[in-house]
Amino acid sequence: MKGTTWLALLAAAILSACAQSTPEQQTLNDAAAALGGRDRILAVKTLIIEGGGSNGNLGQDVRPEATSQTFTVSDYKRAIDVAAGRARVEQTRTPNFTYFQGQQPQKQVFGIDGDVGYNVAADGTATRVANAVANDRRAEIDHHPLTIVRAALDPAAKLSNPRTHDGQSVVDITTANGLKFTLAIDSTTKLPTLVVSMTDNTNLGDVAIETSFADYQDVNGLRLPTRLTTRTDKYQTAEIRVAKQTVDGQVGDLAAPAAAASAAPIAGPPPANVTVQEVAKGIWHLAGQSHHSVLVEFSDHLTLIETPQNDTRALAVIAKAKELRPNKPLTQVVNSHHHFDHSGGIRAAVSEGLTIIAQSACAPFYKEAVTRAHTIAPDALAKNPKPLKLETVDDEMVLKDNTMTVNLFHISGSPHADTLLMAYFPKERILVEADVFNPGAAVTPFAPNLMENIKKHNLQIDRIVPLHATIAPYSDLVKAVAPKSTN
Amino acid sequence: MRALLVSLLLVAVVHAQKRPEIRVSPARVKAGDPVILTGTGFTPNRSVMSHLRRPDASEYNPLRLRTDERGEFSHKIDTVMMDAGTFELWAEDEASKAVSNRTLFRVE
Repeated sequence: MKGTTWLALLAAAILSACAQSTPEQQTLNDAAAALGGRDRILAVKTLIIEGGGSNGNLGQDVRPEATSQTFTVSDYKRAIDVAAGRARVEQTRTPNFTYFQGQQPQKQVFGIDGDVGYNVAADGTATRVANAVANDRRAEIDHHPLTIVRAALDPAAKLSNPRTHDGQSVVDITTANGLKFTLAIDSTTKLPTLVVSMTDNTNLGDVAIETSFADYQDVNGLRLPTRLTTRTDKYQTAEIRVAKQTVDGQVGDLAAPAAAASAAPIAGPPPANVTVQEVAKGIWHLAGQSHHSVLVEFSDHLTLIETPQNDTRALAVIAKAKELRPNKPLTQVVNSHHHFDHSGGIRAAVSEGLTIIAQSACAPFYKEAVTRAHTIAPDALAKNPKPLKLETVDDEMVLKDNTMTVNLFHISGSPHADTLLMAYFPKERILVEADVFNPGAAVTPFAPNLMENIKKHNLQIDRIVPLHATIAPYSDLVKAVAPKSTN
Repeated sequence: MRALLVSLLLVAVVHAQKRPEIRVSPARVKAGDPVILTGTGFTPNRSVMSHLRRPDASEYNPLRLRTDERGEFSHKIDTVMMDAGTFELWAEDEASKAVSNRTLFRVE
């Protein structure tokens, strides 16, 4: 063989070796080819998705495990400036269940521009959202086959951990901006089937947000899905059916509105402001922000009603209780119901060694909640692990000693939640409740059921001490449930 | 005749004063298995305060249970969160103030 032939063979061998992809690169290359090719994908500047579908009601359904409550989503439009890292979603959502704000459709506008996440209210007012929410929205840009593969094709992106799972090729991706994803592609079609990213949820801890893709169609030389289904942990939170999608169309100005862009970053929940109002001897309303608590003094211990929202609020309320009566131990917390805004402080209460009292249907959820991993944003319980002490109420529990009596009743049949407890103070003729009657609210859809429960137990009430809004006379509830004049 | 009436009256009084009774089943469970508490002989269609004492002698907050038209009730006790040991139960008829027998069950 002549020398030139050897050289040609050697060159071919080197080129072949260079061209051989690693398994993770092969997965990405397959996906890119299936979607329309690397060059076509990298040439895309904008994507507009329009359609409709549904949103779930994460953490706010009637029972912890339920997923029956949904919002119908219409006029959905998601515009993405792929290169600039900007996106905006506009949609109208209409509740398919009894909603505390009423049944009317709600227009929603929310977006992300770099690190700035924002919401635009119906009156046009833009507000910056917390950094954690903004991070989720940054990740959400890449919860689409086109954007995640495009991001993975960036030379600064890192691919790792190639594997197969359920007949799919799977690879982990760290994008150039440091976000982490897992991409799965169908072993036959090579089209992306799902993207997963991890985030922190106050109640659930480390959760996977998974968007799956189906029903691909041809769009301007690309293959794009027309059904996108998103799950947060085990709960479906969105399904979008795409009616129209436009590649490199006019997306308009996706920059964050000035009011949001100029606002300071929001690192976490706002500082807690706990105000104190003595409602009766041994009973204090701990308010100050949107979610309230009630402190109850017994002869040898204290009981809190509600540790809401998150660690910040819950720990502040617990501290205020200890400050008000430093010589008595705070031993237990009554939880009004499982909704995330009312149970977000349960883990903090457990970390303080408190016994949780909750309606029986909450038990499996809280048992799981205290064991879940919170590694992304370690909370009070992750830093100070304690076992759950839980007492459950089927229908009625009595907290009683020689100085104080509190009856806890299950509010049965409420369309708001199956896990609601109300607290009745027979001597003081006070009722404490959450969500089912917010004094002063424009609509009170759960008040008639509350009244049924009050009558069922023959409660004699002078004042409503709500866990939202301000203390009101019982007559306000009576008026709220009275038949409205049609004249 | 008078003697018969007196006898009947005595039987009625004794019956009326008969202590309400509670039972548990089973009396030994593995943690997580339910224990069924049943009560008989309580005032019909009224309330009963059910008391449960832990192995360390501290007491749970009492539960108020409703009796049926026969003066009976049934309640499932979830033992998932319970420590191992022997638990003591009793129930108070809130109408008559009569207190039931005390009964035990063991969580293993």
